[in-house]
Amino acid sequence: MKLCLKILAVSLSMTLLPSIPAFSQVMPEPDAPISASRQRAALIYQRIAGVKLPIDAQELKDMEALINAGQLEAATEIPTQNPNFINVTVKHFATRISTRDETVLAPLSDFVATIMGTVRDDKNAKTLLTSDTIYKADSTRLPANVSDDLIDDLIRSNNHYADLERSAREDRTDVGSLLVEQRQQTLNGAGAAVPVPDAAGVMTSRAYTQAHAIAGTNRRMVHHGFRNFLCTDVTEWADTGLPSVYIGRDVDRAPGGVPATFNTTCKGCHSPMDAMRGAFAHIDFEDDNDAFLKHGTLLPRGNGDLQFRANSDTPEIAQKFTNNADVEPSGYVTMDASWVNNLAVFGSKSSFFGWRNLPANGRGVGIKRFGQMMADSQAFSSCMVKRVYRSVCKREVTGIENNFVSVASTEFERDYNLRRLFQYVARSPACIGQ
Amino acid sequence: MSNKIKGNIKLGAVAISMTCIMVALGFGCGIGFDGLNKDALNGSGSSASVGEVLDNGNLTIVSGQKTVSTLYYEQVLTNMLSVSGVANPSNDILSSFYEKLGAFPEYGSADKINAPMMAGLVAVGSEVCGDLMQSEFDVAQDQRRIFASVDFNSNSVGNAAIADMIRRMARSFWGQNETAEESALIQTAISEMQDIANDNNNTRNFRGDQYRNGALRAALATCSVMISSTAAIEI
Repeated sequence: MKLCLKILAVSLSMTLLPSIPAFSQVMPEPDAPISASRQRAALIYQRIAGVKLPIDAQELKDMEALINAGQLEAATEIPTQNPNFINVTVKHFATRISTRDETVLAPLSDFVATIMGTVRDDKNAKTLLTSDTIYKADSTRLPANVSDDLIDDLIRSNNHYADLERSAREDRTDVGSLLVEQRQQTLNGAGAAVPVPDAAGVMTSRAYTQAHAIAGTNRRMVHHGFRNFLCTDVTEWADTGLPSVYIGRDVDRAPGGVPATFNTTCKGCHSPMDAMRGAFAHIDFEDDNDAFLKHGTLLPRGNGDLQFRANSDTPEIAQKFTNNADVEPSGYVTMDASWVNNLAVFGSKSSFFGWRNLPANGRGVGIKRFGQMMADSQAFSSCMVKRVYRSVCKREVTGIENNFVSVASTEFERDYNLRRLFQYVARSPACIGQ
Repeated sequence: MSNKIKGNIKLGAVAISMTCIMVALGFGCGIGFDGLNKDALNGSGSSASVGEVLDNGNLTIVSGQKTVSTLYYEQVLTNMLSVSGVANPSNDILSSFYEKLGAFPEYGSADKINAPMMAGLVAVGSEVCGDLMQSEFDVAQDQRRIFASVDFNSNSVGNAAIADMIRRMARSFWGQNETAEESALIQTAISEMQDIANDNNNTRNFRGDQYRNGALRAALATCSVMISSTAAIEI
């Protein structure tokens, strides 16, 4: 009896599993004319959904009618209903930001799934840098052979997402429709799953911390945070005019015995970067097989699996912050998760990012506040426009399109809805021609 | 020269001509890229051929013009299924796609079109077409979407039937009607294909005996070429 019930349950779950809907079988109309509006509809559709449709498809006829009625915005909603918009276009868009090399040849991860879910649910894009949740597959609707153990498959590995991706390939599972929000979690000293303290959206996701908080000095979290979400590399925001007081002890003030080298090159990047890396003082990601995001406030000091590498006088601060401290003993010592945005309060780049709602004197504490600062900036909006443009228009935006970026950013800031941003960019003449 | 060798030579010729057609459809002579500003491909101000794109490699951005690009790796199969209406891809399709996945471009830049990519597209496309033909094989001729004019039991396809087949595929796979030039190119290739089919010593086939006769082979070849041409992968 039990076996029968189990078989029935499995059968039911199999039949209820969402898979990519079969493509509609469109009957060609060989002699029907193809209007310019229909061609425009087809172009917009394929750029947003990532797939073409036969020119006689009903979706394109509906879009054509809306275009002819002057309802271009409504027309661009139709391709976003195609599951491939989330599963291919948005996934591709997100994967590129998820890795250090910014390549799309990376596996599905909590980072990518969270962006897919955020777009699907029309959530404010700023939550990508501030939310304490991530997206994963609904445990009650799991496809076959998708591992789902919270600790083994989500916290300690990427197995859950790798399995989901395999299921999408082999069984054409509609991953986008399976995603649900869940509180970000990591392990405490007892090995129990607990909420990630100071969670900051995808910046504290497993994939992102694995990419940028592994080894190194956590400066990469700042560097790539600016690069990925503000679309500016450190070489663009380096400023040798900023105070060097926050530069760590591991930076040589006279490389090769020449202080001028430090003052004219090293200082420019390290002054702002080191002043902000304190935000990430409590986190580490060790290069182990079962590595997970380690938080200094949750784990006892030590080198073991459920321990946090730190010095005895600062047990909650990652030891990497004091690497090579003898290089410049008078350098800045990180004692907590506070940070200061020197770029916003000093120097020539203060207006470069369009900071808004900054904490007093540009000083904040923790990753979430850091993420909020980035998300509130104009640079975040224009960065999302540029990234969507790259995704939909198939090339980088150029300097001559600065005005378009500015207008699209303002439009995006109405509700920070990425789905609508995809629609806006895809229908613009800058993207698909006049 | 034996009939078998003659058949193989002809097969090679058809393969080459098919490859040329596949590339030509959409670039240079096809309407696939007409109206999409060919100048944007190389900045020369002249129509770009695929050779120029491959040799040049540097695309000039023209503001206010749609950038020419192709499907990227994840989109290839999904797109072929979408335009063909193949509901449930067979294992043959899936294995072919994942076997060739590495040949498809990471981002779909138009200057990344190369021979392995085109060969991969034909391989996957022919499997998709196999499924498509299978789905239409058992359907009454007047209810077929693509092969409504093709008698699958015949050893040849008439000109009117070929024209109808090409038109239906063009609207489905390319999203536009074919030009007279494109139609002529394909028809010539199909004629050669039918010559081979009439060669009794030629035993080359696809998915078993049912694809041995001329009509089936012509339908498969036409479909494979059109679904994997640059006009079909341009997005």
